[in-house]
Amino acid sequence: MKKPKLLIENVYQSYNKKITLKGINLEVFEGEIVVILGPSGCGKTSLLKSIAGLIIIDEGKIKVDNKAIENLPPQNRKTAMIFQNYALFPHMTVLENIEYGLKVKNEKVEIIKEKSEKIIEIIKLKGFENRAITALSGGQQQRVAIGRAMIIEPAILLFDEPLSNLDENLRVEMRYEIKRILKSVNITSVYVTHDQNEAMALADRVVVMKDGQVEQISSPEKIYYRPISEYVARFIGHKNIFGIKVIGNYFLFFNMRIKYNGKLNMDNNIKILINSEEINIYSIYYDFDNGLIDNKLHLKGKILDIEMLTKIRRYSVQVEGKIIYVTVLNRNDRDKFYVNDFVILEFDKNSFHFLYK
Amino acid sequence: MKKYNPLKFIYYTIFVALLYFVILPVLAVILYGVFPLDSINHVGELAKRSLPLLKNSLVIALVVTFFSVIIGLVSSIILWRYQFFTNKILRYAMLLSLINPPFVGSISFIMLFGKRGLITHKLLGLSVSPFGFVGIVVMQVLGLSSLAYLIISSSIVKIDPTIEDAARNLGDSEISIFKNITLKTMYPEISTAAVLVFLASMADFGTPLIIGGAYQTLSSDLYIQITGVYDMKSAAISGILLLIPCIILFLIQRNFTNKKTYYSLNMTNPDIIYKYYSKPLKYILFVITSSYCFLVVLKYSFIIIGAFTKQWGYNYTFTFEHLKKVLSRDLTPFFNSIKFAFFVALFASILGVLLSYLIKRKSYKFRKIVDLIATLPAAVPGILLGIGYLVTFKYPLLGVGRFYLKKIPSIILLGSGIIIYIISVFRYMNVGLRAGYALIEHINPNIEEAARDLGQNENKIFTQIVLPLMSPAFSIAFFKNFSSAMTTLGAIIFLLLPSNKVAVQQIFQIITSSAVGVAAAMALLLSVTIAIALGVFKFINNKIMRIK
Repeated sequence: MKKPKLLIENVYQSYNKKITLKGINLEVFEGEIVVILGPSGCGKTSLLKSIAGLIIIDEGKIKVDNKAIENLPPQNRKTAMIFQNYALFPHMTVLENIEYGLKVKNEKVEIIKEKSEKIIEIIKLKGFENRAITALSGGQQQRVAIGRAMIIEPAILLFDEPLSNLDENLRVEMRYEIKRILKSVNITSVYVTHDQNEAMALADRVVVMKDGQVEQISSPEKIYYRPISEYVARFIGHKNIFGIKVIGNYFLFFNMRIKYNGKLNMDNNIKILINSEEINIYSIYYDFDNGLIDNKLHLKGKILDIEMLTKIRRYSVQVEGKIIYVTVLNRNDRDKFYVNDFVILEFDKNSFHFLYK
Repeated sequence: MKKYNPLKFIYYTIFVALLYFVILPVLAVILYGVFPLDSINHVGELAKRSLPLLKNSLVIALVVTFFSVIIGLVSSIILWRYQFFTNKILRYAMLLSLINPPFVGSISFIMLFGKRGLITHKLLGLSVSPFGFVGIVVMQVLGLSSLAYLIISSSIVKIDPTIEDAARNLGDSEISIFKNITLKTMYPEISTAAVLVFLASMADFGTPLIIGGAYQTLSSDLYIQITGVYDMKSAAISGILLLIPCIILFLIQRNFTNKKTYYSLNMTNPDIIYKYYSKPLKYILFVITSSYCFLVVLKYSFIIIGAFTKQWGYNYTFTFEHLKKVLSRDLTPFFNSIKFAFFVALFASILGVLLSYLIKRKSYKFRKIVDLIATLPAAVPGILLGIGYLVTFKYPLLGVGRFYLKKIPSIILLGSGIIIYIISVFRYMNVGLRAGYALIEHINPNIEEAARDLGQNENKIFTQIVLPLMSPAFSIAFFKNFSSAMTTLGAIIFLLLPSNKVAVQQIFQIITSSAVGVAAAMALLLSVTIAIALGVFKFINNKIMRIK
């Protein structure tokens, strides 16, 4: 069995009488990128700072390489953090910033030089060594921050929403860069963000947090296709979530009785998630009744709104007073629909995902 | 035909006025001291007389700067980076010295250590007067540490604490973080504080006069030469010697250190507390800060006690006598002071802020020179600028008539009530200028572009967009200038007339004539007046104009 590089056990933490972490448990394995995802105020940054030792936890254990570190000052923890605002030293050059962590360890000059050259190579800032920090663009500053943290070869690299200050294109480019850099040196990382795309793109595993607690830990794929709760589903961007009424081993969905093969717990307030990409959309040519044929459900609806999102297009379709969202690829050979068009929505019964929370 | 452009007109008018009311008087002092050339030997002699005074001035200024900056720094750290329950009250105590004339503290010094002083006479039974070097240094450090604190604390609250966290995270020790990160990023403000304290110490003539005894400085010598000996020539030579180090320091600061500030725009972490510092160090720093505050408070409590006891050193019974005496005197100096400080603060702040906008956002000519001249009065000791006005504007036609238009009887500025307003406006303009610069950095130029884009004309953009945006800078400058104008005497002391006497001058005269009780009562009254006035302005500012 793999040994965890970082182990967080039952961590509680409060700040100004407000409890920010309520019993966090998490393992991060060697070389893994774990992304902590959640809205602001869910405690994700507090968790990150607790690992770094920048805030003190009230209870619980934090172990790196099986050694407890929760009582060590930040200086003695083998973690390095990349801050949201980069926190570069404004009175130093690029090179001075990068070399800082080695200089405080009194490393030999040759070693510092060798390592910093290598790092500058990795973060692609050759030729910028003597620039002032203020003379760099946001993306470049970001890379200096990563280089400065990486050079001390930390056991764990911590990222605190590092891309939130960049514009969209740069953000996409930088998250690709970050993944490349992290995987090229196989460093263990914990990455905090509120951006679900960033989480999906970077993570080996995603941790979704809610109110100081872990809601779900899964692979990006599972988080997307199999969210365990409505909270996770909504946070990851799902919109088609509908309450259902359970009667025996049937449930009512848009006034259709649908047989369900498994067992549904009646006590719970169960909801159904339909992935908007799983829905087919067709023009309506004939008189039509909603119904279930084989395993396919068919629903009649009217287009309320269309949203062009470059690569995809999202239709809001009104069905019996509710709105179902349908996402299609923006392919030119596809049928296109317009507002007020009547359409048929078709989806497989097996694409239903039940949310029990 | 070119359209008339009022902003441009204002800019060049200010430029000419600056040349005329700042550069000309300073040059006049130099010329007055050096010319006519045939007396050059005499000049040498006078300079020889002034050199020991220069040494005194420099030694005092250096020692005072050293201690004041240390106290300012330590207090800033303690009051803004630690959580002591006393912090709130100490932050006020730190600023107490700013609403009092710098020499007023000397009253309590006399009370404690004077010939009939509480400690020297009552406690130790001595009859010596420990006036001199130590007294001046202690009094100036007590007064000027407030200034150092004000500037340094403004930087410590703006420094992004996450860069310290970053260094901590990279394994740097706390001491090294403080030395290499915190202190270095605060360096611009620390050096500014040092320069301003140095300049203020050099310019202070009141303290050496009152408690310096035989130990006099260039500034106090200027005062003595003019009011006592009536030797303008010697005064001018001393003035030149005084001016040289001040200007050199000013230019060094301007060219080398003033360029960078490391403020972060986003303060992500408001709970900036040093969690990891050793406890003994923390308490040592706290003791330094609180003892300083204690001394400041002590200083003022003695002024209060002095104001209400019969005769200091002889009879300590409670009395309203001094206060009655003060109130039965002609109170016009107090009203003059308020009127004077109000209008000076108003015009100096408006012009300063206006000029900052014109320099930073318009492409007029000579911007660098205008900036230099406008900030120069910060470096020129007030008393010296006063002498400059004295030798420049005693001639007709606003001083120009000195050489050419001898026969034309015309406006003589000297001896008119307006001159103290003029000198003070130009002297305090740099405060508004600095505040304006600091604000403009944070105003997005696109806001003006947007208004332009919507078809608004330039003048209305200025009045409707720029002025409201700049008003916080004006408020800051106004508060600072008002208290300065109420409490400083240097620039105007030689230019006052019997008809427009101000309170601070009265206090100064009474102290020098040793009526300690009355002086204390007046000083108290002045402090209370300033505090009330500032309170009223602040109320108007917050509640009525809704400026934060």
